[in-house]
Amino acid sequence: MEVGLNHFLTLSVLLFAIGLYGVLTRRNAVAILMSLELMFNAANISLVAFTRFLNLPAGQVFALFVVAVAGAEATIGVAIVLSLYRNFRHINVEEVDLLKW
Amino acid sequence: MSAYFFWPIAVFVLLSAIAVVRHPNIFHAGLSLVATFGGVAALYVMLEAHFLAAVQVLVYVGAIAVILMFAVMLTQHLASREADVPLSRHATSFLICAILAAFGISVVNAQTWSVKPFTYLEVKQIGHLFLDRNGFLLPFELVAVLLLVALVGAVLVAWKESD
Repeated sequence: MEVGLNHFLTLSVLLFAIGLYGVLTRRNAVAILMSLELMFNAANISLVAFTRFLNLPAGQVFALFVVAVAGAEATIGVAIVLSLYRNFRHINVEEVDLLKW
Repeated sequence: MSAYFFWPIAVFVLLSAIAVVRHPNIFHAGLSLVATFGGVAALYVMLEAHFLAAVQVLVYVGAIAVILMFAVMLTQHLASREADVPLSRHATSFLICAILAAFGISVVNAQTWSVKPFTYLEVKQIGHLFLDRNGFLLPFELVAVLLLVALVGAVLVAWKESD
């Protein structure tokens, strides 16, 4: 069976949905960051698939940008989590509600 | 494109991803994330994006997964509170994600893609695109600024006030 663009895009959509489920469900802040990385990877798969099947160099170039931005964002997220832990002694996002009305 | 490689790798990636979002032990979730990244790198090799596969392993596995594991280690939990999440939340989230996935897959398969033969993208060409004013020069410079800001910002946010 020939594996085409549709297969990779379907995989990308499924991976994105799994990552979204993780972001919505998990309580541990680091687990949420991990699920977020899954979503980034899903977008990257679809970008690279577009390069391969539609012969667009922009796909891989943009995927490199996504990797860089995801790295920066994960770093900032971890810094925030560490700051959170230092102040609250836990990283349960359900209980971080000091700014809530 | 051989289907013999795609299906095992795709199943591996999806199962590892499910382990990341479902495993109550955060450390195991982190290891599953490393496995997922590796699987995605294998997919990039399949898609003839070899430079990107190397970058994926170097940056995602080598840096991002490592920093996430740092976060896991530095924020040790004595007991996992993931079990406190009510079933209704799981069900609602699953429903939302299933609807989104179904919608996405149907949109993808409804398209008629104008598939073209692939001319292999050399690393040199990617480099030229990064430095081409009519290419991606501006995003390239902006990402450099963003990385600098993220570096300074992360250090600042995580800085320990020594009393």
